[in-house]
Amino acid sequence: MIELTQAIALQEPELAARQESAARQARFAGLVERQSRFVFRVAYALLRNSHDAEDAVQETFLKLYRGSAWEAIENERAFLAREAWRIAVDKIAKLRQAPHQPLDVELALRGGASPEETVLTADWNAAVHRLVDALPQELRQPLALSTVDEMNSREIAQAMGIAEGTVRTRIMRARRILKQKLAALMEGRYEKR
Amino acid sequence: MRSDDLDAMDRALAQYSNVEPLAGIEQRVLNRVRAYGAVRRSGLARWALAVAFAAAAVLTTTAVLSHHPSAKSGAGSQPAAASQAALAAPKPAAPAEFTKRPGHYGRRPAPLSREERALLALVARAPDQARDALLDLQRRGTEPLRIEEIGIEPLRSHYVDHYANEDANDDAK
Repeated sequence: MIELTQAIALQEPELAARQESAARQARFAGLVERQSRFVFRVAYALLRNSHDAEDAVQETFLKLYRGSAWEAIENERAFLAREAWRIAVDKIAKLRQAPHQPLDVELALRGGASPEETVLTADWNAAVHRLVDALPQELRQPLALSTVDEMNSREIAQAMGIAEGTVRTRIMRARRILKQKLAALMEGRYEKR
Repeated sequence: MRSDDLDAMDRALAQYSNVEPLAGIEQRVLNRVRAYGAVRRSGLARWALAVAFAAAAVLTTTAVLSHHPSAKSGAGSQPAAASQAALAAPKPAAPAEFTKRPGHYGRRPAPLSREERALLALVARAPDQARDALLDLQRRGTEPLRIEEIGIEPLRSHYVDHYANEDANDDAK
């Protein structure tokens, strides 16, 4: 009887450790279930490619799992947006090293015989998206993040590690450039009509 | 730019990142995390195995070196009193072939044990006695073994003796 009691006493710490490990994995699975789609959209807004975005999602959660900081976060969205943004920016840098065709507004809009014809026939959303893709990175990233699940300027500032005022300024500048380019395209379309 | 165009731009921007991932992304993420955990566990197991092997090798080497004759003590076989003085005698010089040479990192010769030093002292003090002892030892070692003839008497049965005595008494009567 004493031996049985001693055996149970020896197994108690191991049992507690296993229970703690199982609980930790359950909490992490809950975090993945809640936020994986949000993280995907953040990554996609920057990478513009579903495959790369999913890679970024997996890397983001794997990085979190290796550490223990995720167990004490207060704002899940801001924390995860920051991690995903960092990983996506690293991926963009790696993708830039690979040979690729540079994105250009005129090239993006062309597609057919002329830019005007392309704008007339192309999908409006696709045209806007291509214009956003052609913006400078410092303007495109905050504007792209502002389109993710209604992220506000404060969350974007936390994710990018810059001041909230800077985020607002960059988004305003990006939208102004976008309007100018779209206006130019619209003038061409109306003139053609 | 017209106001409806601006609204259209805002709608288009709202769709900029409104993309759904392929179904099952949560499971794929968790699978990758589990795979990472399994790899880490197997890595830890490999390290533990390697450390265990290294520890076993160190222990084996230590055990072999500690059982070398040079490390043995003379406990349990105290030499004779006559040889006690010889134990304090200075250690005899090592043979020439074992002398340390510059740049030689070979195995050093084992120093003489207490018994060997006692034997050397006996030879130095009483060479005749030592020679007789050695010859006697050799003679004992070379003489053939003599085995005495074994005589076994036949067993006598108590039952037979008893009835033989009774017959003898009957005859006497």
